[in-house]
Formats: sequence, structure tokens, C-alpha cells
Amino acid sequence: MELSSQLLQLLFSGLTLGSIYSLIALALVTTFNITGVLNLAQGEFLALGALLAASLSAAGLPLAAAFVIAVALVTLLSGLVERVAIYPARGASGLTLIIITIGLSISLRGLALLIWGTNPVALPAFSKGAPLAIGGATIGLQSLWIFGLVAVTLAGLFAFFELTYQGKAVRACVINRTAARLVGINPATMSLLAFAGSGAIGAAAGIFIAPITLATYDMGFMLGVKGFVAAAIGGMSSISGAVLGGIILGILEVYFAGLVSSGLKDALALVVLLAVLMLRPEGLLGAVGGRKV
Amino acid sequence: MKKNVLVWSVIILAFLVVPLLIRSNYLLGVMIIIGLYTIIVIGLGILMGYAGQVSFGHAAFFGLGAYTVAILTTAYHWPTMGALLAAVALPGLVAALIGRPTLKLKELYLALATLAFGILVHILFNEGRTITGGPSGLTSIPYLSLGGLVFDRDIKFYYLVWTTVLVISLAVKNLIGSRVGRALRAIRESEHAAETSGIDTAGLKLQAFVFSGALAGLAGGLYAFYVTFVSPSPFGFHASVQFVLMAVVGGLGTFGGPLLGAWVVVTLGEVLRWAVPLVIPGAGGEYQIIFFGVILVLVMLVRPQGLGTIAEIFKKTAVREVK
Amino acid sequence: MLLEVNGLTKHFGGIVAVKEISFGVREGEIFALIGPNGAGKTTVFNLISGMFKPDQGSIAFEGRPLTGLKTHRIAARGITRTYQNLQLFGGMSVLDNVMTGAYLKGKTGFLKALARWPGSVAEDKRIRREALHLLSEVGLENQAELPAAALPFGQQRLLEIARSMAADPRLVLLDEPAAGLNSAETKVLAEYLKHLRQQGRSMVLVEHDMETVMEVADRIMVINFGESIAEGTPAQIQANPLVIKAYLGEDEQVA
Repeated sequence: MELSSQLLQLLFSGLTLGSIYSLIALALVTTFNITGVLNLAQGEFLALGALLAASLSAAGLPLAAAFVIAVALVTLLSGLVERVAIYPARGASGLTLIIITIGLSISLRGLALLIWGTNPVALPAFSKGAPLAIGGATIGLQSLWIFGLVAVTLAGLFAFFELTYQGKAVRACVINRTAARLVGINPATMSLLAFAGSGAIGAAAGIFIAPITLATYDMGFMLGVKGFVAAAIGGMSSISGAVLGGIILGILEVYFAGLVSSGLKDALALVVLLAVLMLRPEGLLGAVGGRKV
Repeated sequence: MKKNVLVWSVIILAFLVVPLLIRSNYLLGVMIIIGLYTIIVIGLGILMGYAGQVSFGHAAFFGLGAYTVAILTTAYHWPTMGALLAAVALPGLVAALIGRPTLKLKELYLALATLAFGILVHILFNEGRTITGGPSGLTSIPYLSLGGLVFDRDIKFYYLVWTTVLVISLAVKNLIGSRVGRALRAIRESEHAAETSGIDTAGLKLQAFVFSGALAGLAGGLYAFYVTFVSPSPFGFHASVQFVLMAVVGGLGTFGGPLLGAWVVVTLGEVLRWAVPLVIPGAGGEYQIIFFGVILVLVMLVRPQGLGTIAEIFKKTAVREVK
Repeated sequence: MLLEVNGLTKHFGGIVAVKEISFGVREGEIFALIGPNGAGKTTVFNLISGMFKPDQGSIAFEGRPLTGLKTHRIAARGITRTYQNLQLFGGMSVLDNVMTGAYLKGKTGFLKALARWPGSVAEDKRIRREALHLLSEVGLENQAELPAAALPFGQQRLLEIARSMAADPRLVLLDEPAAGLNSAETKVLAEYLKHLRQQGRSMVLVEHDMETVMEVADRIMVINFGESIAEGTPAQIQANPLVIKAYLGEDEQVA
């Protein structure tokens, strides 16, 4: 393959991977801004979604049904997790909360290991057919599904935050908790909503990527960390920043793996995170002066 | 005060006598590991409980110490004592380098940065094949020798490790009661007021970070001499979380906390490994992991101040009653 | 002049918190900064103690510039402070609070502390003795071992002042030390401040309680909306029509 088409091929892979990172990052950012919790268990929602869907599909369910049931189950689980472990610790220090989410992440991963074991589980691609050929490179149909998921999620979030009363309420809650309470918005409900929503987005992202990467019980941890890197690049406070951060990270990582070293691609993401935190903690894309304290 | 001395004398005596009574290499091995973890958690306890800074990357310093010993003794044939000193110095130096920019970060970002650092170092252990031996690691590390004394048996190593724990505990007790210890606590209580009292809070946090990194390095160096073999697996993110768990379970800012925390968490892990298959036949390591996660969550929900403080509360009520 | 503030200006976003403030504090005097809420008094303190960097203007202490120094360096130059909303080390004992205040009088570093260096033990004993003496001056010597947070509010105020004195500072910034005190406690406070002045301490006082200010201050500067509107002795200030207007514009809390 020519270099230019190889580079284009890598760009397509990068966009695909980056889209998944974007979805994780926007779930993290939304939860963080509403509840103040940095959810290190976010990646586990992806793993559980992917594993559940794979099992349901293997049991003979149509893919669409497997998707809906898996997303619903993870949404329930994430809501439950919020009620049991996050809500009772509201008002605790950020450190306490972050340790709790780490504990949750370990527990959920252990649960996945218990149910599915260490072997990867496969999920069929959503649509059969040859990859599209563009400029000497090809783009898999599953990638198109993933781009679609990002578009639908963003449209959904936009509609929710801009158009619905509930969504406006959540935004008010982010800006000022006391004021939000005064106009009858309950932060506890918002926190539950944020976690359940993050669970749904995470499960969907996990199911969409599973046909490409396979589903394993431990896939969530590094995905969660990558989501943080993406969110940090975006400045932790804006959804558009998180999405852009995810795309940037995905492309960087794929080029690095393809052209430099695939063993060190995870290291690259971590170096990027450290560099961003140390040099520009407001994020590469964070709006100047628009940061919440 | 007298009573305290008595309690600790009994504890120390028990540590001296126990290995002579239990003639089980397995238990001795577990106690050596508890000792090594105690060293790490003492350092982490200074960082978290006194300076108020968190680290989710201390397994990296532990690993750096172990690999320093492994590489210097096998590839460069350093004398073992020299390699052990390097295992303290190098992680300390690394802590100084990364601590300067990292410790400026606020709570959550500091947690993320140390987490990233820890995973990064773990990846480098795996990928630096020519130096670290990759996933299979490095073997044939010689026994540690100090003068004419060669630590070639577990029982000798046991006494070495626990003597080290004792010396470090006494040193840390000195530190806590000193001007520096007060300044560290002051940072945790109010950073503003600490600064206006003339405390260079950034500098002192860095010193605490370097100290804790050096202690973890020391534990790593000793670990390498103990198992005579290193591979990346004991130095991953899970280990870092375990150290934080030990520090928190033992009670932050308490003197006996690190020992208690390391003891509780290691013992619990061993008991779970042994007991769970009895209750649930065919169960493997996954139960242990779930339990760790659940315990971590429970401790943070129910007693974020740890178990060590329970003892302190009893002590305080007792004092009040005497008055 | 011990402290010379010249043309100090600080904006937050578009709001001017402090605008071209200039004043000087003499050795051994109590200089009071007064003005309605939000006039910029605490901002002046935060600028002097290095928590904020001024946009314009200079601060000189003993003839040398302070501008741009970190807070702990400014403390090392001899300026300490208290806080309007109390910043005690609540979980530490009353004695440890004052001993921490005396941090600058010690030299023991990390390694010497670990080794319990003989010199550092002697140093700690001396600092402890001096801290106990300071506590006895504010009547807290019997509460030395209690956690600072367990003290009644009024005693916490006194403790914070004692802590700010522990390093033998050349200048102390007191931010509303009488806030939240009842009239008996306020009297104790005023006596303590006068006692400190007798010992030769120099202080800048931000305070709303006019009775206390008029009683203890040697000179007063009035600021309103970030700007200085008057400066003089208590008698001059009380007679100044601009000041009366500024205060009547606020409410009747002036005694």
C-alpha cells in the first residue's frame, strides 16, 4: 500500500477509535460537572455492555434486541451503583469519592471475570458487507455505525440540555446548586440521572466497538483511562472539548502505533495526560476564563 | 505514655518470637510481605495523612526499587548493598522530578497524574525488553549481603525487614513530633495558614513525596533480594490501589496505621484466597478481586477515617474519663 | 516607614477591587483600615501577604520590595496575618497551632527531624516554652492540649492572633479580629492588642467594630469602593464629612 493511502487508512482507524474515546469522555465530563465525581468505573460500563450484548446475541437474540437489553441492564446497574455507593458518600472529599469509584471499578471487573472468564467474547458486526473504499483506503461499516452513534449521542445530549426542562435543570444544577434547589431541582435526582446516562452511553459505546476489538472482562480499564485523557485534553468542562479530545487522542494513538511502536501506544496516551495536566491543566481546548472553580 | 511503651514492647517482642514458634515458610513469607508493604504504607501515610496529598502510583516506585536492584546486580554486578542504596536513591530522584510539576495539581488532578505515572512506568517495565526483560522479567538476583551476613534464608530476611520497619517507624515518630511534622499537618489543615506561618508548602509536599517514593523504592529493593526475581506484575495499578487501601484502612495520620493496614489487607487477601473456595467450590481469584473492591467501597462509605482511628477514639475517651 | 504601599490596584474580571491605594505603616503603631463591606480591605491584605499579585503598584517592607514574593517568603520577611473567617489548624492542639506559627524560628529540616538530631530537640523545647508563654498571655495555657477546633469561637480568635505572633513578626495583619465576638470578648481583644503594641509590635487592623478601632488605632485609613477616601487619627476620621457620608450610605452599624 502506498504511504498516502496507508496514512489515510490510519486516519480512518484513528477516527473510529477516537469516536469511542469521545463517548467515554463526554460521559465522564457530564458526570463530573453534575456530581463532582470523577468516575474511574466508567470504562467498566463499556465492558459490561459489550459482554452482555455478546452473550445475549450468542444465546440467539437478534442484535437489536441484545443491544437494547444490554444497554438497559447496564443503565440499571449504573443507577444502582450510584444509589448504593456514590449517593451515600455525597459531600465526602473528592479523594474519598475517587477511591470509591476505583473500588467500584475493581468490583465490576471482578464481576465480569466471574461471569465471562478471561476468554474474549465475539459480537457479530452490525451490518454485513464490504468496507467502503475511499482514496485507496477502506473504512469498515462498523466504523460508520460508530460515527453514527457519536452523532446520535451528541444530538441527544444537545436536545436534552437545550430543549427539555429537565436538561435545563441539570445545567442550572451545574452552575449553582443552591439556586437549583431553590427553583425545585433536586441534585440527588440529577446525580442519579448523570450516572444512569453515563452507563447507557458507556454500554452503547462498548457494544459498538466490540465487533472490532472483541469483548473482554478487562477491556474497560484502559478505555476508561483513555477517556480521562480525552476529557483532560478537552479541559474537563465542555462536551465539545471532550469529543474533540477523544478524536485527537484516537488519531494520535493510531498513528503512533502504526508508525512508531504499537507496544507503547498506551504509554503515549498517559504521557499526553501528564503533559496536559502539568502544562495546561485547563485543557488544550479549555476556554480561557471559562473555567469553573 | 508508659502504657504505650509497654504495648509496643509487647508487639516488638511478639515479632521477635513469632518466627521461632511458627515453623511455616508460608506464614513467614506472608509476614515478610506485610513488613515490606508496611514500609511503603508508612511513606504513603506521611504523604496522604500528613501532607494531605494522594498517590495512585506508588507501585511504580516500589517497582523502580526492585528493578534497580535487579538490573544493577545482574547486568552490572554491583555489590548488593550498593544496589540497595541505589534502590532508595533512584525512586527518590524520580519522585523529585515528577513531584515538582505534579504536586501543584489539586486533589483530583493529582490523583489522575499519579495514576497515569504509575501505569506508564508499569508499561515501561513490560516494554523495555532489553533492560527489564519484558513480561518475563529478570532472574538470578543474588542474595543481599551486609558485611559477612548473607540474607539467604527467609528467617534472616524476616528479621532484616522487621528491623527496617522498626527503625523507619521510630524515625517517622520523630518526624511527626517535630517542627516538620507539625508543618506537614498544618498543610493538610489549612494551606493558606501554613503559608502565612512561613511554611514553604510546595517544597515540603515535595519532600514528603520524595521520602515516600524513596521508602517504596527501599521496599522494592528488599523485595527483589527476597524473591531473587522481578517481573512487572506486582507493580501494576492494582498494587498502587492496594497501598492506598492499606493506608486508608489503617487510618490516615495515625502512628500504627500503616502496620495495621498492611496486616489487615494482606491477611484478608490470604484468608479470602484460602476460604472462598471452601464456601464456593471451584471459585478462583475473581472473588478475591470483587471482595477487595467491595471492601474498598465499604471502608470509604462507613469509615473513611480508617480502622486506626477507632483505637484513638477509645484512647481519647479513656483520657477524658481520667480527667 | 515599616510598610509602604504605593498605588496598589487589583481587578477581578471587570471589577476594580482595589484602586490606587497608598499608605504607610510606622514602626510600633496600629494602623486601621476601615470601610463598608466589600470596600476592598481584605483584598489589600491578600495583596500584601502575597496571595494575590497586584495589577499595578508596589509594596515595600523595610525599604525592600515585596511584590511578587510567595506568601511563605513574605512571612519569612516578617509579615504574618490572621483571617476574617479563621484559618486555624483545627485538628491540631492549641499548643501545636502556636508552635507551628513559630515555624520560622526553627531550623530543623526533614532529615534532622527523622534522626531526632540533638540540636532539634533543644530547639523544639525552646519553641514550646515560648509558645506556652504566648498562650498564657491570651489565657489559653490550660487549654494547650485541646484540639483548636474544640475552643469556643472567641478563644479561637485569640489563638489565631497568638499564632500570628509566634514567629516574632515585624508586622501583623489582623483581619476583623472582633467579628463574631461578644462585647466582653471584644474588650479582652482590645486590651490584648494594646498590650502587643506596648511590646513594640506593629499591626494593620481591618475591623468593623468602630469602638474597638477608635480605641486602639493610632491612625486610620478609610476606603470605599476600593479607593482611599480619608486618612488620619481617630479624631480626624470621626470628624470627616466624607467618612460619615460613606457610612451613612451603608447603614447605622457605626457606633
